[in-house]
Amino acid sequence: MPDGTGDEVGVSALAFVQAFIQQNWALSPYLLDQSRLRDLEAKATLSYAASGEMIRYRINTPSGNQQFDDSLKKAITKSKQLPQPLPKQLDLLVTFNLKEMARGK
Amino acid sequence: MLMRWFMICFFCLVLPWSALAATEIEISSPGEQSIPLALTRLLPNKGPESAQISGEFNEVLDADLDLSGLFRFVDPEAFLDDAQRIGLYSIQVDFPQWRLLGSETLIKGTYKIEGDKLTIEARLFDVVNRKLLTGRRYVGEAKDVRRMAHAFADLVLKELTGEEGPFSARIAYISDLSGDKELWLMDVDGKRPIRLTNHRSIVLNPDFSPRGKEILFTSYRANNPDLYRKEIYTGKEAKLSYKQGLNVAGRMSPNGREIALTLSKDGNPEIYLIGTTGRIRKRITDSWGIDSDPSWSPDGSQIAFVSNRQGNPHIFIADTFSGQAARLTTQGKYNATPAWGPKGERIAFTRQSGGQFDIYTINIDGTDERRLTFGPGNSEHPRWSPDGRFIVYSSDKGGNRAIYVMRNDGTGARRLTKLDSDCRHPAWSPRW
Repeated sequence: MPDGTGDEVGVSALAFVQAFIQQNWALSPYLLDQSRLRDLEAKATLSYAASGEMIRYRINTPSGNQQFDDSLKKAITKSKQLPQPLPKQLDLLVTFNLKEMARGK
Repeated sequence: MLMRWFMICFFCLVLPWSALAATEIEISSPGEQSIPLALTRLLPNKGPESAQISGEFNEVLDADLDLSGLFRFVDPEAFLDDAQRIGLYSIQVDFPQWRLLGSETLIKGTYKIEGDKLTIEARLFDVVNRKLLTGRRYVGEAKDVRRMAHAFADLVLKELTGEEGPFSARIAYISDLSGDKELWLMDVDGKRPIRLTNHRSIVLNPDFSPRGKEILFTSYRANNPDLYRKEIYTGKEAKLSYKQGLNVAGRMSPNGREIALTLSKDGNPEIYLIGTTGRIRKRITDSWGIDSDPSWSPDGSQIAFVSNRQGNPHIFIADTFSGQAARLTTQGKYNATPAWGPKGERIAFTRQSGGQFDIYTINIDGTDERRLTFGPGNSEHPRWSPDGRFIVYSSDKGGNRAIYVMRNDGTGARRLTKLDSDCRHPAWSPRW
């Protein structure tokens, strides 16, 4: 996956941040209409300083589903401080969806 | 030059920072498919301690919330000192402590015993955002503690999902515990069973009125399968339909004004609509085959039923106005006991396959058929909870036939009744 950082350190930092945010995202499928899992998607921009601190975030395109959007806000709140610093500042455009979850349904 | 500076300032200040070059990533599933919940035990609030009160409240709430499938419970062994501190307000809760344990939601509460009076206050907190989500004070007697816990479980589901839970409702069923097949009523976790009839005959097929105040059932008390209605609170009982032959599987319409049932007064079982006085209003089916087991759509415009008019028993859907019927199921050689889901989109039913009955659901347009049970034994008589989250049914997989409940996707199955009697024909009441 092109990550825009251009080096191995960047790739590994990106994978780490992605895994960290995903790990902090908790959402039960029983909160949602099972037939709508494939339709739910939201986009958020997150910016981390090299220290690992989230310096700003915004949910650009909410999904419109309250439970889904609330779970994202919590995931972002829980991800405000990375457990380790980054090689440099990282600006992310994150797409959250349930493609994998929907595959199992 | 001035214009150039203006343009630079404009792009820096006005354009959203997201539009600047950012690395795109996709997260296509949550890391945890449940909500981490810390469920603490109730603490005494200025009164005598009762391990039974706090233990029973905790046990009921734990079981209800576990059945919902929404939560992963944080291990109580890991709880720190905040679990031992009364905290009914956000400011009193040490949220970082709960964050440390990985919890996103927290339930805390207190109880107070004053003579016969019991007061329970319970709260649901959002640990991540450090705020109170919902809470309620329940006042009653010590014997009401289970009811209070079920009510709080309903409230928790309403807060988190937007739709109240079904745990304060009841389940009617048929049991031969007294020696005869009689009508019984229990909590949705199988506790507090009480016998409602004493017909000393065979009672079958209970169904609740839309407001949950009455139960319809069939009884052979007068040596014919007649339809009865019974008021739950007063115990008053009346025969509603007692025509020669079958008067079975009575199901009250969503508006409570009509009852669909199977009558065989003319020899062949057909579906009819009768009024609440028992008078026939309409004949819905008219075929050479056996038509039985009606189940209303939530809007009352259609009825699902079983018919062998095209050979083997299959599920059909009839329009209640025109009586025109279309076949729903195409698979299997024996499909029975349809139950229309409260959301209107799916129907649960039973199918015999390989010599055993299992429970399935299907969309009302015949698509997306799913098998929910896979033996051992027979699983039959599916009925939905009023919110559509759960299905209650009977199964003989434990030896004797008992009442079980599962989520509407077939997961989380648990037995509700003991194995000391034959229990069948469950029906989940509307919310009380």
